Amino acid sequence: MFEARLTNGSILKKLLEALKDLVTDANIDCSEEGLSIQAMDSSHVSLCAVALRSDGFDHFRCDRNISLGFNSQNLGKILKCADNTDMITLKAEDSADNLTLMFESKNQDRISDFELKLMDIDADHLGIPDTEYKTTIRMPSNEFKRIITDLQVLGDTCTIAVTKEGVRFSVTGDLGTGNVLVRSTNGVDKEEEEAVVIDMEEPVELTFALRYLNFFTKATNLGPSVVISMSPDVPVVVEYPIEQIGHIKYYLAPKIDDAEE
Amino acid sequence: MSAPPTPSITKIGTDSVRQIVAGQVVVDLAGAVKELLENALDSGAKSIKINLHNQGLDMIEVIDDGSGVPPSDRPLLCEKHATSKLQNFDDLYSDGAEGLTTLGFRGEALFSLAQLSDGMIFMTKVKEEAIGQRVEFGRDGIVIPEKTGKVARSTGTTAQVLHLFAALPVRRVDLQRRIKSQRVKLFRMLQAYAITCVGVKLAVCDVKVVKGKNGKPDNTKSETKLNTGKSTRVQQTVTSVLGTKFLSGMCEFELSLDDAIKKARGGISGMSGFGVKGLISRAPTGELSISAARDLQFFSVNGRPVDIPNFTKAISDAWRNFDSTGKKPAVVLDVKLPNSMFDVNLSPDKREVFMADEAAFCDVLRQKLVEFWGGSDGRFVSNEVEEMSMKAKPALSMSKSKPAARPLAKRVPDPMPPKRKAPPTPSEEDLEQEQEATAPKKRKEAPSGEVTQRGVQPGAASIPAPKASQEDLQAWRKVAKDFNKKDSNSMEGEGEEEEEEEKEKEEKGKDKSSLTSQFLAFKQKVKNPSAGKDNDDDEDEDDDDELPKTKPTPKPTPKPIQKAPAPATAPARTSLPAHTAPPTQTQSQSPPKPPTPPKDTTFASFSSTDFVISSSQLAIRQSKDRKKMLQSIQKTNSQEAAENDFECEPGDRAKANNKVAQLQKRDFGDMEIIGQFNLGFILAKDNRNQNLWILDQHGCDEKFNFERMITSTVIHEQRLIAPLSLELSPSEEDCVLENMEMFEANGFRFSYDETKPPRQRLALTALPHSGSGGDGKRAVQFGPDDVGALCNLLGAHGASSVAGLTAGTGTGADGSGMFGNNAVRRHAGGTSATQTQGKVQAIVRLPKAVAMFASRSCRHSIMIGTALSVSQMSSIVTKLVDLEQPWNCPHGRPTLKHVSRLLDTLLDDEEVLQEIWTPTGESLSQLS
Repeated sequence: MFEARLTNGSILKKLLEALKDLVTDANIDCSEEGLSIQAMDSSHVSLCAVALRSDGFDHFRCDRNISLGFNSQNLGKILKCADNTDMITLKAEDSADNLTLMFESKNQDRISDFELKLMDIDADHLGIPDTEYKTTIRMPSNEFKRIITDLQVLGDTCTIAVTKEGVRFSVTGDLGTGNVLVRSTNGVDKEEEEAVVIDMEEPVELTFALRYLNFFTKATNLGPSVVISMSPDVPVVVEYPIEQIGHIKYYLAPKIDDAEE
Repeated sequence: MSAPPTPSITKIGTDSVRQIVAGQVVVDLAGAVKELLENALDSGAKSIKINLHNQGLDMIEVIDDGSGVPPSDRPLLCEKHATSKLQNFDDLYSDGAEGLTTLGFRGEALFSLAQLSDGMIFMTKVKEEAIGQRVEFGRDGIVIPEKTGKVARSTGTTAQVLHLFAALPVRRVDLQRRIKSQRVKLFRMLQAYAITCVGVKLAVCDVKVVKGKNGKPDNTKSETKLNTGKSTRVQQTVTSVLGTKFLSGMCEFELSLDDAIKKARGGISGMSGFGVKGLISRAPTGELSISAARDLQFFSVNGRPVDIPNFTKAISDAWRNFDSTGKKPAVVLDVKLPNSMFDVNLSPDKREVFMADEAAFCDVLRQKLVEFWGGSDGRFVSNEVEEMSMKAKPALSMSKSKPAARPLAKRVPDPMPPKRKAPPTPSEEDLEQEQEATAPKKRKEAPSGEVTQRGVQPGAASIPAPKASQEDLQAWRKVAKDFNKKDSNSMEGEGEEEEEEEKEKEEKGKDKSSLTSQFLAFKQKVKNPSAGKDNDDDEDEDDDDELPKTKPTPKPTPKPIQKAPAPATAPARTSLPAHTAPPTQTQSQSPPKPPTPPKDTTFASFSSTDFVISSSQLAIRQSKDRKKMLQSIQKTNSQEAAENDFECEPGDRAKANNKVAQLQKRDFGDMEIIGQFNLGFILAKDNRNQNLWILDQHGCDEKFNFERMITSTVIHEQRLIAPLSLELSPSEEDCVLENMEMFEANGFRFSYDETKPPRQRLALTALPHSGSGGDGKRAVQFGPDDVGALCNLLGAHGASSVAGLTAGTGTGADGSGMFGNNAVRRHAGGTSATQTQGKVQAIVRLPKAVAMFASRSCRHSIMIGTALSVSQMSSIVTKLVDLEQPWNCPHGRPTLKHVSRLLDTLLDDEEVLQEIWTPTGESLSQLS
């Protein structure tokens, strides 16, 4: 028996928004610690990992570990039926074919429940190696989203270079080139959410496909800030912390260095 | 287990051997007919008739008019391994006089047929005999003496096979059950022979027995399935088998293999004249290209129809450089090789052939084809005035009330309602004046659009322009004739320029008579479109019969045009160095204060507004150049005419109408923009051949963008977060390993794990992608499926490609050095793709990548419905010059179409001049 109730149902809604463009099918792995989703996009280019701790839920019960395979489009459709203010309860029997979703409106005047048929997905679970990243950038997620959207106009790959100066996002394309430099706000008096914090061991410069970075920014609504961790030749991690409950992390391999050719 | 005491290996009895061998030689209906047909051909027959009784089940009969079988040979006809065609095995590969020249040589065919059927009957007569002999053989191949007798027939042989496969019940039943597909195969084979055997009349008939009713005796009914006439060239056989439409899409191709042979033999050859010759699809550069299914590829080696898969592959490889639609070219090729260079003794049906150094031949062929197709021009169905004029008439009357087409530029108010008699009508007076002045009607040097004045005061502006009224017509003709007789003067009627003209006149005098006759003849031709060219002689006194069959092209302005002091509105159709005026200007001028009634100044609707003739000055200055130019055009055209003639089968009228307008890529640079039509099309005239073209503004721009993108777009290689293991079929896996460079060039990377079970050893580590999704370029991510697609492409044509694989990877035209650039075929043309091994190998591109570029370029291009300025239009047209293949948009639609041949128009009398407009308008609106 698995049961989890989340007062702030909008988190689930936003989570699905963040997933559904990238991932078609995925498993929700339920354990006593909480829920986790790990999935790759269909072409195995990027990886997306979601973790929601059990203590973030208002009620959480998971008797034994189960995997709930879902189609993200379909789950998204059902979650669309929930209001942002609704409380959402997820329920599943231990060997169930269905996931029950119950939406309760704030003043309890409407209760709807839906059942989603589950699928059998044999996804290989990737062990993500613990990596010490050379640089970590924390910045407002809106800012990140805006940069990515802007740069997309010019080209299809984006170079992220972290130096002492700050983080430079640059793009080259048919129309021309573009550069956005984001400076660290260390020492400047700012709200924590709006701060740009750069934690750098050594300068790193990597190039990524904007298309995927753009997919990642779909998670912008989940949290006010984004944490980008990079090391040379390792996939970048774009993490959106979700308040009090967990995070969603995206992994993307950098473009192979041009020098190789 | 102990071995049995009796020997387990014994010799098979002779009879059994015979049957076993025979069963292998003839396996189906097509094979049986083929053997008889080849015998007939080998006997030197010029006319062969094949009768299939009851679809070939009851009897196959092949009647030829060859040499016949000499009496001494007759008993041996069905003896096994007996043949008149080969003495020694070595002859098979001998180049000398004793070398094999016949199709058959195994000495098995008749024997096998006799073995497998209910027996064979021959009726044959050689020249020396007075009367033919009938010989019948039993299943054992022995003559049945009691059935031998005299028979009446002319020199030649009739061979009959009774009940094919009667000796093998299983095969017989199978034959009966699948007779339909067997016959399909048979006819495909017969097609090949019919095409290959030039000079032989081949007829195939189905003979059915019709049961006699009411006690009447049974009748046979014969139905001809295939019939080729007398032929001297392969074009003729192709026409009679596949039709003129097929032929019109083909052009001649010839390739000498002498060098390749010489090389293969280590430098000594001593022989020449070997090579590949035949017909092949035109480059896919226009609507006249025919591409076809694979079974429309006919190969033969020394006249023997065979399959040469490697040639097919080489041709497809070359074709892929130019074709984006995935069709295959049609081919009719005969390979001429010395006997020592090939081997057909591979299979009993001799369809297979090995060639020494086949790979080298393929390379030569591929290279040559790339050049051949790369250099070819666009060819379009010429929109013939003659043809159209018939239809035009009803349309004309309609246009009275309603413009046939919308005015070109909407901004310009249509000055008048279009008139049926749109062209300015000369008044009778004017005509008289003209006659007095003996103004030449047809003037070779009259610059188009030029305002010619003949005997009319400047400014008074008579306009005996194209005009439809009957009286005028007559007057015109008269004038024209008068002119001829009088050898009149001045072509270039500008009053002010008279002196100059005097000089010119002298020059022109020489040309004049022939010109005159041409003109008259042409005129006549136009009047009698149906009569075609034959009636040149009928009417005109001056006709000297020298007319080229396509239009002779002195290009006179057929109609004098109003001379106005200022640049006048010209009824400029055609000829004019159409200086398109900005609409505003046009506007100011187009409601002319004309000497002629206003209604007459307007041309059929859309023509009216956009043409402004140049000032007369300019026109005159141009006239001299023009004269030269016209002469050269005339020359070209007569060459063209010759070419067309060559394609026309005698008496093939349909073909004759199907004229071809040619356009070379460089002509795009020299096009005059006439205007925009319907906010979607550009009307332009090419200055070399004086053809009027209509170009799809979107398609042209799209193609330009497409080719630009293909060379400049970087296809990125994206490493995967985790290897994506693939499940490939063993052949696909092999293909990937074999063609690893090609995959890497396309942006795929693989890892190979030997420890895994086969078929799962490969995993993708990187995939190509392009675009970002945010800027209107739809992002495209290539996936594992595309590996399969690429395997298919490579697999289908691959195999030999390993050596040429490096082509393309190093030659990134954009210098960006991205692997991904090569995902799409290199736009370097054939020669620059030539690699060290001399292989020309286009990079195999992913269909998805092509589709991606096509859709992107479409989105970035000027859309239909956009009003364009002259300079915009001109830049669109000019950009086409540098394109590799400007004839089709990336989706395969044509970018331009032929509207009319202005030279013809210029030559013509006013009847046609008037008529031309409506067809034009019609075809334009169809286009839109």
